[in-house]
Amino acid sequence: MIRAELTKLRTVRGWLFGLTAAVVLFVGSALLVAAGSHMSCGDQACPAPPVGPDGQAVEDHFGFAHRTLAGDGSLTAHVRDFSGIITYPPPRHDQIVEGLVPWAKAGLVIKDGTRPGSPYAAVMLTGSHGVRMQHDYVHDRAGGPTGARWLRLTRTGASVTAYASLDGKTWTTVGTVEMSGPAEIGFLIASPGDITVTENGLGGTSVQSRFTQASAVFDQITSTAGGEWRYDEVGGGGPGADWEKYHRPAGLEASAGRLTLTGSGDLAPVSGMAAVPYLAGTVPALLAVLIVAVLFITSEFRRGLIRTTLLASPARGHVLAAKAAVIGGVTFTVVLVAVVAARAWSTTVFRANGNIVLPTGALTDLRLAVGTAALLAVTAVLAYGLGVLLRRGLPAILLAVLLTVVPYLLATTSLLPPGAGEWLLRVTPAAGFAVQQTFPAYGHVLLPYTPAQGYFPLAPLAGLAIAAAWALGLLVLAVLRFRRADV
Amino acid sequence: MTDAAAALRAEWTKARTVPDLPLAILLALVGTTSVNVLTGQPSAGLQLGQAVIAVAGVQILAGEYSTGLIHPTMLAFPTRWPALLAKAVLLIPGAAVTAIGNRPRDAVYLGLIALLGLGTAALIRNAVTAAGVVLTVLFVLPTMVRWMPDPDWATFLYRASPSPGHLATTAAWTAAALLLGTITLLTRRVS
Amino acid sequence: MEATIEVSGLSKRYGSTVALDRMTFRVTPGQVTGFVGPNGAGKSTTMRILVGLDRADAGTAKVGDRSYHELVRPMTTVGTLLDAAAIHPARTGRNHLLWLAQSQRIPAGRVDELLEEVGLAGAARRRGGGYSLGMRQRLGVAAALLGDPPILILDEPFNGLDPAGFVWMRDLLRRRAEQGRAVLVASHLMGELQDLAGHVVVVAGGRVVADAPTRDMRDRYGSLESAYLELVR
Repeated sequence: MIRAELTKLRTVRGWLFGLTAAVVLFVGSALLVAAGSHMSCGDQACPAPPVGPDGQAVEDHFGFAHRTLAGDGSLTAHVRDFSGIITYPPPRHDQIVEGLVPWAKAGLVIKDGTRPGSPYAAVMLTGSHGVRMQHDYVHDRAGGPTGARWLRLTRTGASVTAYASLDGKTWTTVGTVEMSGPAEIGFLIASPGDITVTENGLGGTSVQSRFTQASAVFDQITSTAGGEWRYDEVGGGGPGADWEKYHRPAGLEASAGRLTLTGSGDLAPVSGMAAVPYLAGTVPALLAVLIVAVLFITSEFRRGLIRTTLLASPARGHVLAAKAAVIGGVTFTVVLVAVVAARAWSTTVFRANGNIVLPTGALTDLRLAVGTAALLAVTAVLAYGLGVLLRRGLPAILLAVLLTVVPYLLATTSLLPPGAGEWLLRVTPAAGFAVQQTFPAYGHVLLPYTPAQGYFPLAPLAGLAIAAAWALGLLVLAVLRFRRADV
Repeated sequence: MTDAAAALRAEWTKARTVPDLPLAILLALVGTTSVNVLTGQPSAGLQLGQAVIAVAGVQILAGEYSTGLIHPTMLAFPTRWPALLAKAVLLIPGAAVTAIGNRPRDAVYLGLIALLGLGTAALIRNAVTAAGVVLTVLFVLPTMVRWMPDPDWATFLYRASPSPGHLATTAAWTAAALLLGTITLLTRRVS
Repeated sequence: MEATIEVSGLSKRYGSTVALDRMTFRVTPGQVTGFVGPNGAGKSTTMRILVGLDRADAGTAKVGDRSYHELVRPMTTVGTLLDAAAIHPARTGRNHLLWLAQSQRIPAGRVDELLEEVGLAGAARRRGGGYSLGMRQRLGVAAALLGDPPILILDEPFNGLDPAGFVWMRDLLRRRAEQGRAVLVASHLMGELQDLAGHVVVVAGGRVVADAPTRDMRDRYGSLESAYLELVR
């Protein structure tokens, strides 16, 4: 029966054309986006961001005052003062104000040298998230008593343990991580850019980051590592902001047992939707697939072919299931091919234009490819189910688009308030788009984790499951109705 | 002109004797208004309304190809244009009604979208495919904008998409669809 | 205007298939003209070109000295039944005829008259989706007769009719012909046409192979059926 339905599908020229159109739209959109992206840094290629220990692109830029730590050892200090400036914050963007951004960092760090992207473990005071222990860019945990200003970092064997204290006498463990080998131990200062989201006038949003700087005074320092405190701006070396030139340069000042460390930057994973252009054609391809899926069933009703089909195989539930399997399976295969082709081809073009392709990891790549194919297959089955239920093509295609593409569009543009958009992406079949989220959202990186930026309210598989539940539910409803219907 | 008047009368009878068009307009009206009220964003409801209205525009012509009704229509109007004109004239107020509660320009916009559907149906004739193509123009172009890294391309794509904010662009799409559709309708054989 | 149909040198190809190959014949008023030939011989294409649904590659097809698309209120000149009436499944038979009448500026009263005449008065307010093939055929005939046209073009008018319907259709066509109208009837029913048609046009492979009074055919071949079998072989 599946073979018969497969033959039906591939012998109608219009449907083959539709499936081909889906592939062409998918690959074409990816190429278009890749070809339209140009990046250059003067005459040379832009430097790729460093890669962290877990394989992802990271920002590793901070002020570092350090000594060499040979084996075991510890560093204790009191954060006497922690302040900073933020340039031109909202609402009026007209002045430079005193203040710290929420994830400004001042603290102690053990790091495998000063090479950007190298492993580290750190305990820090933050602008508004208290004491944290962070390591290797993506890992973050809160700890220590509220209001603690005393920090300690100890290495014993291969473990690094962080402590915090209110008075320098009673210590609370914040966390322990594994880290061995030769290392530098010392102080860090970092202050990520101040992020604001504005409507870009194109129905979407754009994210802007403005310069900030933090400054911390450490005193009552106890260190087992000896020698001078050497200063390095890890990952730095840029021209510096005007503020740094005219007011306060980044750097280290040491006097009478006090260290004053000033700087900007962050230790954090880097993400960006535009860095993965090959999924751009998903919605165009989806429309083509929806048309084929709806026609695949409603044309049978319209031409009375369904009677012939049922004469050949009277088990109606089986017939519908076979057709669903065929439209789902064929869509999955075709889209998978399209994703692989789009990825290979558009990445080449994208790189050739000087763009940087952020590493995403093999598992994520696999999930994006298979997930996108599954998303379109599930949506095709959903449209097919609507076709069986409504029996007429136009209401079916309309409803399919209203259930999938329209919620996605509303949620990813500035047409709806953000909360409403995310709600749509939880309950409608458009939830399935969550499978395309490329980068995880990190609690310790302040970014607009909105659908417009490629972040979805549901986990990838959970979102896909919602879409699949819709498709399955409609299909079951359709089968129940169709079994008792006159054809 | 008498042909056009007779066609208008005939099309009016057609439209009111089956529930398709009244139902679509009702659905568009209820959908648009309720989304507007729920979100407090007048432009959000319009997204839903325009989808329904576009499909209604497709349906009024392409539906005749599905049922075979196109034959008697063409036999009644062998020059073909009076039937197309009458359908267009009927659609505009039907679409505009949907924008009650929105700005007046939104009514104009929905009228243009209905005609975009009609023109596409004349061009493509298969109802589902025509509806899919119109919905692609309405919804896919805007979703592509955010993928465009180059601001010039993004701006171009944004400006090139039909939207309540760009009546001139929308009118250009509608005019192109109607022109190509009319030429096709007048020259090609009837299914 | 003279109630005639004039097909002259009509040619039409669909891709590599030749549908019509210089098809030429004339239908005169006052009698039923049978239009016969095997499936795919070009009967339907000719009829579709006559009423402007298809365009010919070459040649002319005129109804009452004009092309169909030049006619004002065309259904008052030519009544056409191609397939069984295409009707929207949700529209009633009466409303279907009503919009057609309005399109030709025919008074609505004519609609009820015709519904009575074709025997659909009882079903006039039922939805078209529930009509049987025979009922749709009667509705199609009503549409063809709506404008009281001097020319009738009917493709397989007996399709789907019951025995009483056959008698009714036969009488209807004969009476229209006697009123001086031109009636072109395409059909595979040789027995029916032998009694009904005064003239027969036999086509095969897109061209006319015989064009003669029915009586001559019968005299020469014994019956219209034998004539047909002989001619299209």
